[in-house]
Amino acid sequence: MPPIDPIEPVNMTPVNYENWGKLVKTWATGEDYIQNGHKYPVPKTLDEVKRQLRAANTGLELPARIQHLQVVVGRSDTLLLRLPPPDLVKASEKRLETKDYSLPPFYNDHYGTAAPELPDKTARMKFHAQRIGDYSIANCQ
Amino acid sequence: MTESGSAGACPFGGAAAGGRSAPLPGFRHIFGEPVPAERFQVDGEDPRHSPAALATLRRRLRGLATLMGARPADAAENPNLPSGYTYLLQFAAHDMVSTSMAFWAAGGGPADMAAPGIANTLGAPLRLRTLYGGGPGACPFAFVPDDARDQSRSRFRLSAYAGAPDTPASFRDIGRAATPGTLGNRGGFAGAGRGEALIADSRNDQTVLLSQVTGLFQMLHNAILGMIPAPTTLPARALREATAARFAVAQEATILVFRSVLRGDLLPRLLDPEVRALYDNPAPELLEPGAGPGMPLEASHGAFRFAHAMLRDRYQIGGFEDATLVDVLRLNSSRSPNSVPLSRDWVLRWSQFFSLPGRPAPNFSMRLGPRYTAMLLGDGLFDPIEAGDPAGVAFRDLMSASLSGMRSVASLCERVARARPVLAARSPLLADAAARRAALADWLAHDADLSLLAPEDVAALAADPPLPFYILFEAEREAAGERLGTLGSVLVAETAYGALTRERLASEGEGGLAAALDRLCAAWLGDFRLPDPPLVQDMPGLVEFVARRLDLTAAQPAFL
Repeated sequence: MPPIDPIEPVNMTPVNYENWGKLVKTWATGEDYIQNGHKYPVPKTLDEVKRQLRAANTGLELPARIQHLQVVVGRSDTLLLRLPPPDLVKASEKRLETKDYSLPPFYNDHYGTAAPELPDKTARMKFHAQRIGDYSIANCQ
Repeated sequence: MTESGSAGACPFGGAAAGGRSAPLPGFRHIFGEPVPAERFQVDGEDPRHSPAALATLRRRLRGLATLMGARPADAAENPNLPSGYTYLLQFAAHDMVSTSMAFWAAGGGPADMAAPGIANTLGAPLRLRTLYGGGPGACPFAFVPDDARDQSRSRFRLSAYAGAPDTPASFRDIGRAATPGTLGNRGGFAGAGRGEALIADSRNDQTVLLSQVTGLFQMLHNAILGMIPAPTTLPARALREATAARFAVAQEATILVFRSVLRGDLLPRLLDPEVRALYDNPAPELLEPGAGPGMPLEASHGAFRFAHAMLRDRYQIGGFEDATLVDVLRLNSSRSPNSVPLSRDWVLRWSQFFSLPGRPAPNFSMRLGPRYTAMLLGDGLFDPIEAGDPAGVAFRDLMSASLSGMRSVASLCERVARARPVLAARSPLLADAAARRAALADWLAHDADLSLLAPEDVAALAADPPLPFYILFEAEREAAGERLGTLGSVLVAETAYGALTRERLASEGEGGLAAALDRLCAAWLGDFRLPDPPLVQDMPGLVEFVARRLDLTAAQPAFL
């Protein structure tokens, strides 16, 4: 597998997090949270993922490096350790050596303020570890 | 076939009220008031009058908007239109139409139809009302006091970028202020935010790019004003008159330059050359030489929507290599009061937006076609009108056009083909209804799994397409997306050249811009003439003139 471009993880950012979240909730619960006439079964192929991403207006495009699909259904009595890809962790660390951490803009809308710039690399690495710690164990809160 | 039941009220009056057929205040129809058969319809019914037709329309437009709403990431750029023109167009559009309520959002019953917000309140197009508002008297917040006693105001108010040194070159953002009576992030009660844009038309702060185009024209005004000697000690009345004359010359000269740029730069880039040739001359061949006042709905809510397809996903801006359109749309006083005035990195280097000699290529806009960037789907930017509607701008554009009672594409093509047979002879889409329908049906059916459009829906939309969609479709087919096609060009030219012709300034006449500027000075200032008149024909020229007059040629952050 070729090395990851340090900026490539940005390409996995949904444009509309709300619609993306509704799609995930639809897959998780079987209830239709989107309600725009399309069907959203848990996808079995990447092509099916891409079709549903467009139909749900998420604005999320999968980068070319994505070649496989793995769906894991969580259980409330099982610790699901969702480990991020090691090459992407390293790519993010490399990017954070020079660039600021970028939070999704919807946080600004809800909390009424822009996130302050992190002062240095040490602060960025600390925040990076905290964020990975958060989303690797969080269960849809 | 229309659906039974309603999927929401019609913003232009329900079935019981019979809807509204007359033009809305401040608007008109091109080629006069259409009869019912000449208006956009859904299976032969007017969706403003029939809940069933409205429900069918909504379902079909959801499908069409979904097809239009996610442009592929590898879509082609348009070398004919650097990105700055996207925002110049938006600025010019704001100078032609102003409603405080979008058509799709107008509410339900007949009373909503008469709501003041539905009217177009901008009665004098292309006179930079969007920049000046009512001038210093009506919009004093947009101007700085001429002296410590604040007896008059003449210069536009600009803000220094955040953390800037106290030098004239630092004033690169529009005026912004804290919002009184609020807390914290909007800047009230000693907070740091700047929640108020101090400009005459707050729409011009919708994006960080449009606000800087606005600021550029404010700088132009200030540069021209700076060439006219300020009155010294005079009796009160004479001082008032001299101040008013100075402002009037700077204002009208700025408007003359704006109009010169429209004629010499923007419109030539947008229009089909043969269409432009009919209009761009001292006696333009208008189809409606005696048209009354008002903006044609077919232009404001039909043809002019094409600019939404020009938006890029990402831009090189100042210190950013890949600022997203979502970032661009969020950076304003309303959404991000804590992020303004702009930081140094967001201050525009104009060579990134217009082609300046000897500079690297700018950001280009995207080729015109029936596809909008997915960035417009961003959270909170353009939310669905109703649950189940797509987010984004495409659905709103299509709904507004379809519910305005505008002329149908077929009616427009038939009228233009009859009046302009030479144009029709080279445009099968314009002249041949069957060919037009077949081409549209082919495109509309290309991804039925995504659009959920049944064959009868495709046939209906192909026979009577919403005008904003058709204009983009035509541009892609006839001009490879580099400029508008035949019908789009005629509608834009008829509107823009019509306004320029009918709404002449007092100084306009024989001899071009130089002569007009001389006449302007003579009318207000006697023998005084501008020592360095802004003889500007295009945006690169305007940027370079402002840089020269305001000493910004070598400014940091870079201006050119």
